[in-house]
This record gives sequence, structure tokens and C-alpha cells, in this order.
Amino acid sequence: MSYAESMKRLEEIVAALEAGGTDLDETLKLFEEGSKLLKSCQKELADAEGKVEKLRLEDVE
Amino acid sequence: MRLFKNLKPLVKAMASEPVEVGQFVAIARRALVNEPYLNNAAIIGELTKFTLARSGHTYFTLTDAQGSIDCVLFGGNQAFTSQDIKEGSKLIAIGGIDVYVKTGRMQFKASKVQPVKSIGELEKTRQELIQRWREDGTMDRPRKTSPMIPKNLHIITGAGSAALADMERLIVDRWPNFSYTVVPVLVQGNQAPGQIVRAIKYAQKNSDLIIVGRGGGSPEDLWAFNLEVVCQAIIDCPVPVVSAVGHESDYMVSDMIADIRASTPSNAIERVIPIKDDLLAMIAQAGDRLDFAIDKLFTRRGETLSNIIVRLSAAPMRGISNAKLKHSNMVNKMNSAVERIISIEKNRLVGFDSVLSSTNPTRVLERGYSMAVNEDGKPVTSVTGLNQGDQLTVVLKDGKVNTEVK
Repeated sequence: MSYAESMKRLEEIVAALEAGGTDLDETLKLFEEGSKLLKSCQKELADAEGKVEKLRLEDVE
Repeated sequence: MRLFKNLKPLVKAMASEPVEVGQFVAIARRALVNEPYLNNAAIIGELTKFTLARSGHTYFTLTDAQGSIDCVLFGGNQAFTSQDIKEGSKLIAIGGIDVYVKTGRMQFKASKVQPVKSIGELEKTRQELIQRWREDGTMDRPRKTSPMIPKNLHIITGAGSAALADMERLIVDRWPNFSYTVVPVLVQGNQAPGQIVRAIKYAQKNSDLIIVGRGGGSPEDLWAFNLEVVCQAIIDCPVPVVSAVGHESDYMVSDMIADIRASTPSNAIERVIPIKDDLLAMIAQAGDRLDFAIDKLFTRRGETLSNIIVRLSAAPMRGISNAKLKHSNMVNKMNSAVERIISIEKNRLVGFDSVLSSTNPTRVLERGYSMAVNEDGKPVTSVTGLNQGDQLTVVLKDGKVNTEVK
């Protein structure tokens, strides 16, 4: 799942929990899924970091 | 670039004694001809003089502000006439250096000539390209979107250019330590289109987003981004491409056909690199909301549960106390009924009592009467059945007297 998709799903989960009305099992499942999504989003951020690579023209030719 | 690497042995041979002039020119020619950079070149200049020889060869001179060179294109007459090349035309000649040993004159031996189009002619080609891509739907084709966080951004632009410096500074501002790759290319001149195309083809193998662009310049400087070959590479690229050329007002064909058009190189960064702190804040907020929602749900559920417990525990008590109440009411009712009955009975008894007491024989005796009872203690109320010698007891008000019937 891409970062954008993860954030969208997370928003859905939070909205569903905030609205209430889910039974206990469903609530726990949503919470677990939401927690996992949070972690994966944080990981996505870390994955984007690293070094700047400068190629030379010969690398491309 | 190291020129004349081949010259060394020749120079060595000449060092000891004088050489014939022809030999000298021949050595010089060989040095020039063997030099790859001079032997395979494209030169650009204004056509100041040309002769279409009867042999079919074309002799011409290319000139610019700094210099001039005589050129030859063997069998070139056809090329000159068909391309409508005239004196004063700007011309690109492709070929290499040569020296005519007999005269010692240097000349450029062309294999191909090509007129440089004026900006007006270029503009005409550009309009035709735009028109064609409008008609065949290329302009309206679906565009790819940029990933929210590019994992392997490739920036194709001039090495050491101001545009690259602007972009790099902006990236660091938005997301320190953000990783990306710079692919250096010439962004103007004859080699620019080929290099840009090759860079796009290279980048698309590794990247998830490509920015291709350059800073501002003259229309001619920017023209690579109006060329079909460059734009076609952008169209064919499976990875989303951002076109980021010149200033706000420069509108290239690449801007029209790219997946994302940025008005400037800096704008490209603003459009595709998120601000890390914003993302962190969004994640933190989502996390807080998740925690808060779950806390609230459990608190509410806890409340509901304790409410249920209270109601559950209260419910039978209330039943019992209801029953109790009913019971005690009933008891009360019964009690009062019994009491009422008792009191009625009491009253009756009291009535009886008064009747009884009024008929009590002892009260008669008190008034002076007496009563005779037989041996069995039964009152004798008649003389019938009495015989002489029967023993009777006479009961008086204050005692008994035993008597005999005579």
C-alpha cells in the first residue's frame, strides 16, 4: 500500500472509531489495523531518507 | 581533454634534424586527422561563401565572430540545393578536419550539412507538433500522478546549474536527508536533446519520479524542450515526469505533454517533495485521534458495562422489594381483616357475655331464689321423677344444703 493509500485508510479507521457504533471485535480489529498503518507510514518516511547520488554523464550514456 | 596524444613519436623524430616542409605538413595533417575530437565534430557558423563545382563537390566557408574555416562537401551540390541553403544561412556541418598538404591549407571535410532553422521556422515546427498531438489525442492522454513520497527521485538537469542549486536548497529546506539522484545533461545546444532523451531512458529504469528541466534562458536556449524527440521520450516514459523549464512565463511543449507541469524548477520541488514536518504532524495527529477514539470507546463501553451491572444488580432487588411490598401489603390487609374479624367476634362475644351473665343462675340466687340439683349435679326443675328418699342439694346464694325428699 502506498503512503497516500495508507493515510487514507487510517483516516477511514479513525473516522469509524470516532463515529462509534462498531462492536467490540470490530473496534479492536480497526484499532490494530490503524496502529499497523501508523507504523508503516513512519517507515515510509524513514525509507525516503538517505544520500544524494550525483551521476556522471558516462553513467547514463 | 588531452589532445594530440599521437603527436609525441612524431615530434621526437623531428627533434634531431630539420625536416622537409612537405613532411612537416604531412605530420601536422596526421596529428590533426588522428585526433578524435577534431575528426568527428559538428561545427556551426554562417555560410559566407559557397561554390557548387561542376564536379558535384561543394566548396564553402563557415564564419562567426571569432573565426572562419574553408569547408568541402564532396558531391554536396544536391544537399545544398535541396535544403535551400543560401549565403547568409546559419549552417551546421558535420565532419572532420583535414589539411591539403600541397598548399598547407586546413579545411573542414564535411560529410553532412544542415541548415539551422531560425526561431520563426522552429516556432512553425513547434506549432505543427502541438497541432498534431492535439488531433491524435496525445495532449489529452491520461496523466500519471506523483507518488506522495518519491522513493527514488531522479532530477535531470544541467550539472552545476543554478536551477539544480535552487532545487537542492529547496529539498533540504523541506526534507533534510531526502534521497534523490541527479542525472547531469547538457540542457542546450546540439547535444542537449540526445542527452536528455538518454537520461530519461536511463532514469525510468530505476526511478519512481523524474524531474526534467532547466532554468531560464532565451527561446533558443530552451528549445530542446520543444523538440519532438525529447517530448516523445517524456510521453513514452512509464514513470511520472515533471517538466520544469525556465520561468513562469515559458511554456514548452514538454510542459503540455508531461504528467506534471511545474512553472519553474523550484516549483517542481514544491509540488512533489512534501514537507517532512507536515507529514510527521499528520501521522502524530492520526495516532492521537486513534488513541483518543479508542479510549473514548472503551470508557463509554466501560460506562455502559457498569450501567448494565448496576441495572442488573438492581433489577432483582426491585423485584423482590416489589414482592415484599406486595406481600407486606397483603399481610397488612390480612392482618387488618383478621383484626376486623376478631373485633367483630369480640363484639359478638361481648354480646354473648352480657346475655350469658344476665341468665347466670347465680344472679337469680342473689335475688333470693334457690336451686335444687340431683346427685348428678343436674338442676331439678320438676317434681315429676322425684321419689321419697332422693337426696337433693339446694344451692343458695352463699352455700349448699343437702336435703332428702319426704
